[in-house]
Formats: sequence, C-alpha cells, structure tokens
Amino acid sequence: MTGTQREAAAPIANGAASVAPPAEDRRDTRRTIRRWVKAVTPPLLFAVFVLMLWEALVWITGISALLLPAPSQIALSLIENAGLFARNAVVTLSEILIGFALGALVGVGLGILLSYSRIFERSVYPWLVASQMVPIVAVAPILVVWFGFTLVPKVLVVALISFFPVVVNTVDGLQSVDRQMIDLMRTLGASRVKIMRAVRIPWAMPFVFSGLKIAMALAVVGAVFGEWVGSNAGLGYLMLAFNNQLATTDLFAAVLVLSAMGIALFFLVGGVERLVIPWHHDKRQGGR
Amino acid sequence: MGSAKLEARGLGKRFKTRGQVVDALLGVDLSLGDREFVSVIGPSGCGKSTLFNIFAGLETPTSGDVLLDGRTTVGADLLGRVGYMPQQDLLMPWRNILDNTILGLEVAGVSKRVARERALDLFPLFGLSGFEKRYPDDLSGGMRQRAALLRTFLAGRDVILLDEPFGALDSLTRAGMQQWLLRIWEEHRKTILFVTHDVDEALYLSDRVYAMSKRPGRVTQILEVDIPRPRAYDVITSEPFIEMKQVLLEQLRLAHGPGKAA
Repeated sequence: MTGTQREAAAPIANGAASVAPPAEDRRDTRRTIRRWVKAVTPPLLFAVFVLMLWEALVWITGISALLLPAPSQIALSLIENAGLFARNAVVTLSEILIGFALGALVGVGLGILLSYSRIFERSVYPWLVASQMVPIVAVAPILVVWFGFTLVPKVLVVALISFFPVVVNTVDGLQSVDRQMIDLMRTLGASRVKIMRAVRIPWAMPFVFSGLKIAMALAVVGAVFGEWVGSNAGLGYLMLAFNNQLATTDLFAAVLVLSAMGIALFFLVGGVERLVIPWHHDKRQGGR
Repeated sequence: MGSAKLEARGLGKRFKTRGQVVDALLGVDLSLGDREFVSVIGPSGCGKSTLFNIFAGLETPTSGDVLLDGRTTVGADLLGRVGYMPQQDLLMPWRNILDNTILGLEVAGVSKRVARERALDLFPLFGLSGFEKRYPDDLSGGMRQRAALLRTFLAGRDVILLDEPFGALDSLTRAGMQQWLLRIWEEHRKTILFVTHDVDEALYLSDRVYAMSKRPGRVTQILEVDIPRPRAYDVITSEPFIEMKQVLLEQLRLAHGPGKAA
C-alpha cells in the first residue's frame, strides 16, 4: 500500500467509525433513560407511601412534635431555615471535599508506594492496619486542642477516616494484576515504571474507585463527628444545637439535608468513575 | 547450524517444589535458522511453556545456553529481544484495539502518533480495519488473536514466539488463521517458533517440527517438512503429508505413554 492510498484510506475508516456510533448512541441514551426511570420509580413511590403513612400517623395519634415531627413540618422547617441550612451545608461540604481529597490522594499515593517496594510494604503496612484500631473518637479532641475551632481538625478527621479504604483497595488492586500481562510487558522490554503506569495503575482503577466510594460515605460521618467535637458552624454543629434546644423538627431537617448531601456525593464519585474508566462500566453492563 | 538465529544448547530447567525435584526440560537442543518457521509439538506437561519462557527471557535455565544471533544470551538479557505472544491474547481492556497493538512501539519510546500510523498501515492485512477504536470485549476470539499478533509483529523483533495462538479457536476459524499466518510470515520474513499440540497445524506451517516428550521434557524427534511452499491448504491430505503425520503421531503416542491418543 502506498503512502497516498494509506492517507486516503485512513479518513474513510475514521469516518465509518464516527458515523456509526451516533445512531447507536441515541438508542443507547433512550435505553439508559428508560432503565433509569424503571430503577427510580419504585423506590420513589415507596418513599411517598411511607411519608404519607408517617404524616397520617402523626396526625392521628397527636404525638408531640418534640418526639416525632410530621414530614410536612420538617419540610416547612427546611423552607423557613433555607438560608441557615445552606450556609452550614457549605461549611460541612468544604470539610468533606478537602478532607476527602486529602485522604484519597494520600491513600492512592501510599498504595502505589507500598506496592512498589517490598520492604516498605512489610514495614509500613502492618502499622497502617494497626492505626485503624486507634479510635477517631479519641483522636478528634486532640486535634481540636491543637488546631482550635478551625476547619483544620474536621478536615483531618475526614482525611484520616477516608484514606484507609483507599489505601487497602489500591494495594489490593495493584497486586491483583494478571501476572501474564506483566510478563508480556517485560518481554517487550518495559521498565518497572512503565509497567506501573501502563498496566498496574489502570488495572487497579476499579479497585481504587470501590475504595473511594466507601471513603466518601465515611467522609460524611467524619465531618459531622469533627463538628460535634468542637465547632461553631456546619450541619453537625446545627444538629447539636437543635438537639440542645429540643428543636426536633429542625434537627430532622438538618439530618435530611446532610443525608441528601451524602447521597449526592456518593453518586458524584460513581459519575467520576464512569468518566475515568468507561471500559470498566461498559464491561459490567455487558455482563448483566 | 552456524547461521542459527536462535538456538538452545543442552537446555535444562529443574524446579524444586516441596522437596520434589522436577525436570521440566532436559538437554534440549533446538535451532531456528533465519526466517525459518519451526514448531514444537508435544503433550501438555512437556515443558513447552518453560522453553518459551526461557527464550523470552522470563525464566533462567538451570543448565545449558541460549544463543541469539550466535551470542550467548540468557535470562533477563533476552527481555525485549524476542517477540513473544502468549497463549491468551492479554489485550488490555482499557485500551482500544489500535492502542493495544502499539504497546511494543510505545515501550520502545516511539511517539504515540507515529506508532498509531504504523499500526494503521497493518490493520487491513490483519483483518482489523474498522475496529481501531473498538475495545477488546467487542471482538471475536479470532480477531483478538490477530490483534495480539499484530501487537507482537509491531514490536519489530526478528524472532517471534507463538504459544498456541489458535488453541482456543474453532477448527474452521483456525484453518483460515493458519493460511493467513503463513501469508504474513512469507511477506514479512520473520523467524517464528510455534508451539502447538495439533499435528496438522505443526506440519502445515513449519519447515521443521520438534517433537517433545512428557516430563522430563526433551526432544524425541526432529522432522524436516520438505513440502514446497507456498502450500495450499489441501496439502494436508497429500500422501507425503499423511506419511509425516503418521510418523509424528506414532512418536507422540510413545511420548505420551500407553492408552492415550495424542
């Protein structure tokens, strides 16, 4: 094949590749939406049912709002205190995001280091596991003593609580690599660094993301706990304050806001996963 | 034998597992001339994989030498010198087919753009046109093997080791792939060492066939296949072919022990 023929052939091949997908894409999108509706409708209907039952029960029994507020009262509190919730949610959200980013970064980095060096792994990994036996409950007050009522102790609690699942999953992922794939790279003359970048890290990505999802769920808990130990803002702080004032309705509203935020953050990690490792998601879809 | 491209001299590999000593290979002499197509055939457990791993540089022999271009080259020195295609295609699920095939060039430091161009030139020959942007999971077994073979070819080594590349394919696909492989080999003039346990396949493809015995793995017979090339596929029903097949089958039956067919 001559050079000119080759150049002429390549665009055709590319064109064919780019013409086919859109129709497929559109069909895929429609199918995805349908699947999504199918997945979301039943739990949503169920939630509406439970809320109605709850509402009815509160009105029928005439139970005090101090013990169990009705969903309508909670909704009202949400609307009335929207500004307050928003301000404090932003505080908690930044604690979570900064702490999570820190924990994830340290977690992945440490995971790569651990699987790079046998000696490092042998000497450090056991201590890493042991460190998880130290209760955060005991560490948090010390952090407050050191850093005061600032953002720092909360970020650190979040980072501490979220880095562990990331490390463990990263190490597991990096070590579960298909031995033969590494051998293949070696026969191609690849260096250890190249093997790490071209094989081990991509291979470990699905594991890393499993770790990140767990970490995100824990991060939310970590932030609230950090605020309970010492703070003057944030959803955790609000909860404590409402609790002391016996403002049960507002407390429920705060819990609701926090839960919604946690769920959104969890799905955010899942969304990033799909963007970063689309091949893995497609594979799972195909397997079903 | 002076002009051998790749040669094994008295190659031995001994494994020790739980106090037991196993000789996977024992005094194996084998030689590939430049641009020869040579097959190794034998029952499972005859040390074919060990032999391949030694040639590829993944394992070090416990005795004997490997000579590449007449120079003793053993163990890790062979890494990156000999093309190696393992039994499984080992395509990376996170790379599209095009980027899977350029792996060798990429490791060699060739820029991705240049590597892709060079790979695209060969896509038609390897029957992969239109699948450049697809992922390995979208491809049939035959296509995946061709992609893996293209990856091996693109790495640009003179000597290529193929470990039962068509073992997992159905017989029709397989026959097609064999003819296609011969075409590629004739056009690109590579030196190929091929492992199989299919007698027809070995004879149809090769200039020379080495039969090996079960543990300890050693060469029990060397058969020169003097059927002229290019070979049409119906050569496998010709008289000289059948005769050689009988010789080889008999040899393998002996190697495999009584009661079992090869």
